[in-house]
Amino acid sequence: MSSRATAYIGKGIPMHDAARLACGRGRYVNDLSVANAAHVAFVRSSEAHARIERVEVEAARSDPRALAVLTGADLAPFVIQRYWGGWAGTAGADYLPVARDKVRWVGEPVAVVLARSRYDAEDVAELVEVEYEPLPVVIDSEESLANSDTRLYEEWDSNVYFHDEFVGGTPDKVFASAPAVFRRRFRSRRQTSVPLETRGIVVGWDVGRKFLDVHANHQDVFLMRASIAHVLDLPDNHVRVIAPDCGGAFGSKLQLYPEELACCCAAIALEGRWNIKWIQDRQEDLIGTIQARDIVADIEVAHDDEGRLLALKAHMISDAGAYGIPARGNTTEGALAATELPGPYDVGHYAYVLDVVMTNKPPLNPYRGVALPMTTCFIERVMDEIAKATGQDRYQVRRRNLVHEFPHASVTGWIHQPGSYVEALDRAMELIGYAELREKHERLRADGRYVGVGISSGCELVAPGATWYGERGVTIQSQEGCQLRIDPSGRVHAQFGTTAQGQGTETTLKQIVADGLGVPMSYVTVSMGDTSSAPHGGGAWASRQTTLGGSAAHVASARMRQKLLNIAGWLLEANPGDMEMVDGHAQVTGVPASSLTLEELAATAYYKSARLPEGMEPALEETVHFEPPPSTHSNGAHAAVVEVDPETGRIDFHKYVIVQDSGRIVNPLIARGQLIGATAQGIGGVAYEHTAYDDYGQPLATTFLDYLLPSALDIPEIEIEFLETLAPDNPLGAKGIGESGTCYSPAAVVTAVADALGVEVNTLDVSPNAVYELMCEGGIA
Amino acid sequence: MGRRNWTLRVNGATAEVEVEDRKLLLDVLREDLDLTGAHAGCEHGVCGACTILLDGLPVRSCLMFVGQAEGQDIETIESLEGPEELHPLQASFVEHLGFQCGYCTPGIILTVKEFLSRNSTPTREEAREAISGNLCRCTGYSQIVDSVLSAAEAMRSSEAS
Repeated sequence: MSSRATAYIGKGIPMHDAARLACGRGRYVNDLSVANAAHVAFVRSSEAHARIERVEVEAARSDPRALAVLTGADLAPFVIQRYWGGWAGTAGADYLPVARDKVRWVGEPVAVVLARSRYDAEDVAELVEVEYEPLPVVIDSEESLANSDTRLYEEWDSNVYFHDEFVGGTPDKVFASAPAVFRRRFRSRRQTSVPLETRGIVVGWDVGRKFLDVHANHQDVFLMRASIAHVLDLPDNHVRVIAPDCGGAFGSKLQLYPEELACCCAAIALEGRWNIKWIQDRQEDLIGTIQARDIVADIEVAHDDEGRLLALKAHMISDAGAYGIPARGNTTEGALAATELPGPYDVGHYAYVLDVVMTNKPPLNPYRGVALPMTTCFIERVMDEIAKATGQDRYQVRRRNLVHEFPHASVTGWIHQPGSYVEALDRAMELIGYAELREKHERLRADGRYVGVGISSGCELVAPGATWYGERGVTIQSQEGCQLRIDPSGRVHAQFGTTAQGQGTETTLKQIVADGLGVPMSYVTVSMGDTSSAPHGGGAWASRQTTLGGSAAHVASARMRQKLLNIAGWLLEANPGDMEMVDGHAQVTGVPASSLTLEELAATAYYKSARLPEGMEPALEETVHFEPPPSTHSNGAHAAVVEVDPETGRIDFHKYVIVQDSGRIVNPLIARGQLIGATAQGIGGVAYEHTAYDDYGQPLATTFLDYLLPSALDIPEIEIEFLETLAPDNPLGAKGIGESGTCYSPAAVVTAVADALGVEVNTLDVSPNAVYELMCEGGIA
Repeated sequence: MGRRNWTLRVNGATAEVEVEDRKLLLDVLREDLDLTGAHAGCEHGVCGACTILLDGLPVRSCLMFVGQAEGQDIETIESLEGPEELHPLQASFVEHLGFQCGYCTPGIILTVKEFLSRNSTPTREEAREAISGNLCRCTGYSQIVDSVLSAAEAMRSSEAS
C-alpha cells in the first residue's frame, strides 16, 4: 500500500451522489418508463407437489384484456439448453421457466398472463383453470433424505442433490481417547432476505438483431447475462443486462429465477411484439424468492478437562428446496456450513458428512452471511457447553481455543492470513464490561430478572478466488474489473463490474480512484451495472466489491498516475520521478509553479497527441482486472446484554457492542451503516423471521403480518470499534465488511438468551413463543 | 370495472386523472402523475414505503383507493426541494447516511417531517418510536435516528434565525 497521504480513504464521506434517493428520484426497475409494455401476472400452483393434469387457458385467452397467455408447453421450445447451474457433480434436471408436467412448490408458475396493466393481468390470470393430481409432499429434510419412495425428480434414485464427506486429521482416534465427549443437535430456521424492493424485470427482444435487452435489479449483471444466454442458447454478446437502482438484495437477486426467465422467453415467443414487464409483489416474494438458513446439524465434540476443543464431527442436512437455481446451484450454504464450522477456533481434527436434499419449497441460496450466521451460533454454543462441562469461564474457553498464530491453515484447507481473533474478543469483553456481569446478573436473578450476556466471536471468508465457483464449473467471476478513463476535458470516469444496492459502492470506489490519481473527488464519476459498457466483473456477493473493485481501481489509477506524470515530465522537461499529482495537478515536488493541470494533460493526450513522448499511446484509458487470493478472512466479536421478560418472552437489549476487523476501512460512515444493518438482519433472523410451511407444503408466512421484520424498536443502539489488521494480499489491505454483522449477531443473541435463562438454546429461535417454551423447560414459566 | 375522472390536489397543484375506481392511490401517483417517489413495499399497509401525507398526516397510499383522496391535500416526497437544493431533512439524511438503498426513504422522510412538526426536540427514543411504523432493511435504524436528530437541530436553528 502506497505511503502517500490519502485525502479520502479512511474518511466517512456521505453518499452525495445518492442524494436523489432522499428526493424520491431513484430509478428503480418499477420506475422505468417502458414503451409498449405488456405487464405480467403469473398463474401459480396451489399445490406443493402434484402432476399437472390440465391447464385450461381458453377463457383467459378470449378475455379482451388478455394480450397473451402462455403455458409451460408454449415456452418449452425456447429453453434450449437444460441447466440448473451449480457445481459440477451436483444433480440436475430440466430448468423450466414455467411448470409443464409437474409442480414442486406452492407458487411455482404454471402460466404467464400478459395484459396492458398488472391489474388486468391479475384478473385474466384468475380465468385460467388448472387441474392437479396431488402427490405426497416432502417437507422435512430428514425425511427427504431417509425416504426415496417420494422423489421430486422421479428420474433420480433419491432426493439427494449433493453429498460430501471430509476427514481432516484423525478425529476418530481423538474421540476414542478424549477425556470428554458430547453431542448436540442444532437446527436453524428457514428464512428469507426480504429486501424492501421486490424483484423486477423489463425485457425487450429485437427480432431482427436477435438481441435481448434486459433491465433487472440484479446483483451480478454478468452472471445474469451468462445464465440467460446459456439457457436460451444465445451468444453472450446478444444479451444486454442493465441493473438500475436497486432497493436492497442481500443475496436474493443473484439468481436467474423462473419468472425472469419466463419473461425473457415470452419476449422471444411473442417475437418482440411487446416489452415485457414483471414486478414481483410481496406475497410472491415471501413464497418464491430464495430462502436460506435451513440446516439440521448433528455435532459431536471432544474436549479435555481444561476446556480445550480437541476434535469435531458433524452431519449436516441442508434443505435445498424444490429445484436447483442458476448460476450457483444450491450447495453454497450447506458446503460453507460444513467447511466453516470450526470458525476462528484452532481445531486440528474434524470430519463431516453433508447431505443437501430436495423438498417442496422454494430453492435454498446464499443470503447475507450465508452459513456463518448459523455456524457461529453452533460453535459458540459448543464453547458454552464446554465451559459448563469443565467449570471454566465462557470467555476464557473461547480465548484458549481461538487461533493465535498466523498464517493459519484450517483443517478444511483455508489459509487464514493475520487477523485479530483474540484481540477482538478481548476488546469486546472489555466494552461489554464482562468482568462485572456475572455478579451483577446473579443479583438481578435473585430479584426475578433474567439477564444474560451473549458472546459471539468469529471469522468470515470473504472475496474468494476462483476455486469456490469457477473451478467447479459455475459461471461466476471472482475477478473484478476497473476501467478508468480521463476524458478530453480532464475529468475522470471509472466503470466497474460491480453493482450497487445501497452499500455505497460508488462512493467508496470514487474515494479510492480520487486518492489513487491525486485528484479531487469532485473530478470523478463512477458507473456500473451495464454489461455493454462495464468491464467484466463479479458483482455483489461475499463482501468483495470495495476490496476487489477497489484493488483494481488502485492498480489502474497508479498506472494512470504514472502516465500523467510521464506526460507532464516530458512537457515540462522534468524527471517524472521528481513529480507528483496534487489535487488534480501534475507538479514538480515542492515547485507548484512548475505544474500542469489535468485539463492540459488530457488535451495533450487526446488533441495534441503528436506531442506525447516517443512510443506512448495516445488517450488516457487504463483497464485493470484484479484476481483475489483463494480466500481472505475478516473477523469480529459481538457481545450483548439481554433481558428476557418472563411474562411475555420478549427480549430487550441492555447493551450491544461490536469489535470488527475488516482491514483498511475505506469509509467508516458506510462501514458502520453496513455493520448495523447486517446486525439487524441477524437479530431478525433468530428473533422474528421464519418462512414456515405446514405438512402440505403450504407457506404460512405470506404477508408481513406473519413474516415479521424488526422495526426501529427491536434493534438496539450499537457501540462499534474497528481494528485494522491489513490484508497482505491486496493493495488496499481491505477485507470485506458487508456481511459481518449478520454472521455474528445471531450467536450473540442466542448465547445471551441461553445465559439469561440458564437453558440450552439449540434451535436458532428466540421468538417469544420459543422463549416461552425454553422458560417452561427451565422451570421459569 | 368503472373508470372515472378524479380531481386530486397533489403537492399544491390540481391534477385530473381518469382511472378505474379500484386503482390504488399509490399506483395513481406513480403511474398517472409520474410521482414515483412513493414505493410499493408490501401493498398491505405494514412496511410504510408508500407513505404520503394526507392533510398533513402520514397515510399508507397502498391502502387507499384513489377516490378516497379526493378533496384532501396530498403531499409526496417530491414536494420537498429537489436535488439541487435539499430540504434540511434530506440534507441530514445524506450527511448521516440515513439511507442506503433508498427504497424506504421517501416514506420515512415524510413520516419524520410530520413528527418534527409536533416534536422539534426529540430524544433518540422518541425518534425511534416515530419511525417504528416504517420498515428499513438496510440501515438497522441507528443512522436514521442520527439523521432525524440532526435535522431537528438544523430546523430549530433555521427557525430561530
